[in-house]
Amino acid sequence: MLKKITTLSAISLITATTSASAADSWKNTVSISGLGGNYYQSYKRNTYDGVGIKFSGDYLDQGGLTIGVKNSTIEFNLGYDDIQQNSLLLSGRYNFFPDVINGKLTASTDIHYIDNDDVTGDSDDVYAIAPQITYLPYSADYTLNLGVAYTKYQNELSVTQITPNVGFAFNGNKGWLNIGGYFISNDNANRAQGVDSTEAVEFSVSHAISKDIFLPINYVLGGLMLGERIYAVDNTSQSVYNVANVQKGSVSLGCSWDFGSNISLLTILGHEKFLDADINDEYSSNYVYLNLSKKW
Amino acid sequence: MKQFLFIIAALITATATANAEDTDFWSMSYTYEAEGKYQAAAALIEKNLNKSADKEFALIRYAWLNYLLGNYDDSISNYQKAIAINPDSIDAKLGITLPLLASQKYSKTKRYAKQVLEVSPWNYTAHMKIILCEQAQKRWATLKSHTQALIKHYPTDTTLQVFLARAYANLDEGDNAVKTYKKVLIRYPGHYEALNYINQ
Repeated sequence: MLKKITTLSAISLITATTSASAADSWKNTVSISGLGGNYYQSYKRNTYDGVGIKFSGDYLDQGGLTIGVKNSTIEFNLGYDDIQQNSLLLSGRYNFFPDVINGKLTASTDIHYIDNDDVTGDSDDVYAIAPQITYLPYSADYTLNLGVAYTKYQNELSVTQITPNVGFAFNGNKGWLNIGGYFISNDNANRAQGVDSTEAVEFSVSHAISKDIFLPINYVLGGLMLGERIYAVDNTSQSVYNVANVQKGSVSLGCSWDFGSNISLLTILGHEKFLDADINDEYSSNYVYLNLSKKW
Repeated sequence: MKQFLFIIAALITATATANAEDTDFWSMSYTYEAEGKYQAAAALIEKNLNKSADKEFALIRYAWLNYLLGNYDDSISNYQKAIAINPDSIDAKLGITLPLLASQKYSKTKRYAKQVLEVSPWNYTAHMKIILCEQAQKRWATLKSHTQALIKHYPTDTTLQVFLARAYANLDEGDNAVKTYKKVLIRYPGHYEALNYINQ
């Protein structure tokens, strides 16, 4: 009996200590993002913009949750209806540390819901689920990731995606190169610009720089997408490309500004090419993306 | 009657001889160990493993010497045998964490260390084994929280401050890392890692 009491007391003591430091055990981030862009030489589309807020909390190294909402508008040219859209993101992740693999496994799932006023209903009421598994060795010099996504659209369309990724550190872990593949297939080519599958590869690179060198910039980044993709689920930006048109490549450049007190601003300028195959309209888009975040 | 006394005397002599032999091989094994002759020490224990009156002690000694020899699997299995004999042994449960850590079996290391914490919640050695696992697994947020809790109980300890500073540094909390490394320097002037971080 005495042993039981001692054990229970010991466990209570550990639990009490854990509770006392529970507030410190959460690492939280809140971010507000803004996106604005214009379409160039598009027959139908004119501009787009959006704002979003995302909250993310991670408990120690065990896992975390993210919730985000986004409101965006696509302004069309005369004769076409604009689209107002609201998106909801729920995301959860859990880390495993199995001894046999000498590294960390992260299992995560993103759930997306999109609601808009698209009169055709084609891009409205969209559900997507995107589970992923990521391996990061303790050396943290490379990472392997496999993601799948299933997206359900109205009007008889569902999309399946496989997204393998590999990342490497370089220059003494100051730089990081990520290469990701997009293999997307759908079950109704008539609803997907006549294509039943698309493939693309995406390269993204980032490099830390000393804040003393140039302004309070702590890292720079760049991205390049080659190939074609339609109805993609982007696991990096945690967004769904639900408005149909084939994306035929993109390039982006950006940097992150560190303002101290755990406040940072990510700025990205990008250029994308699209094809509206239904009317054989090739067009491009330039955009600016800002993301102000605070960690605590 | 004479015969009975003779038998008693013979029994006492035999027991005394056995005890003397037992004491001899123990002390010899310690002498060999002190001289760095781990193989010889282990061989001596192994030879007497089943003869020893104190099997648990022999197993722990043998497991320890195997750890020193780098025979981690043998070390682990002998510590496990010792734990099977005496499940309350903190010695064996802390001991087994050494070959487990060396084999990078962090989950098992933590399991045994936590068994010690169930009976001795602030046992420094058990916590330190878990801290070493957290560092090896780069679980910096966990390491930070863990060392902060321990520092309340061991406020003068330098090692805990070093681990906390490393956690801060890896969590990009540079200011807190510097503050903590300064505490390290108060406790251990000239500490190389602390000076290196502060002066970088």
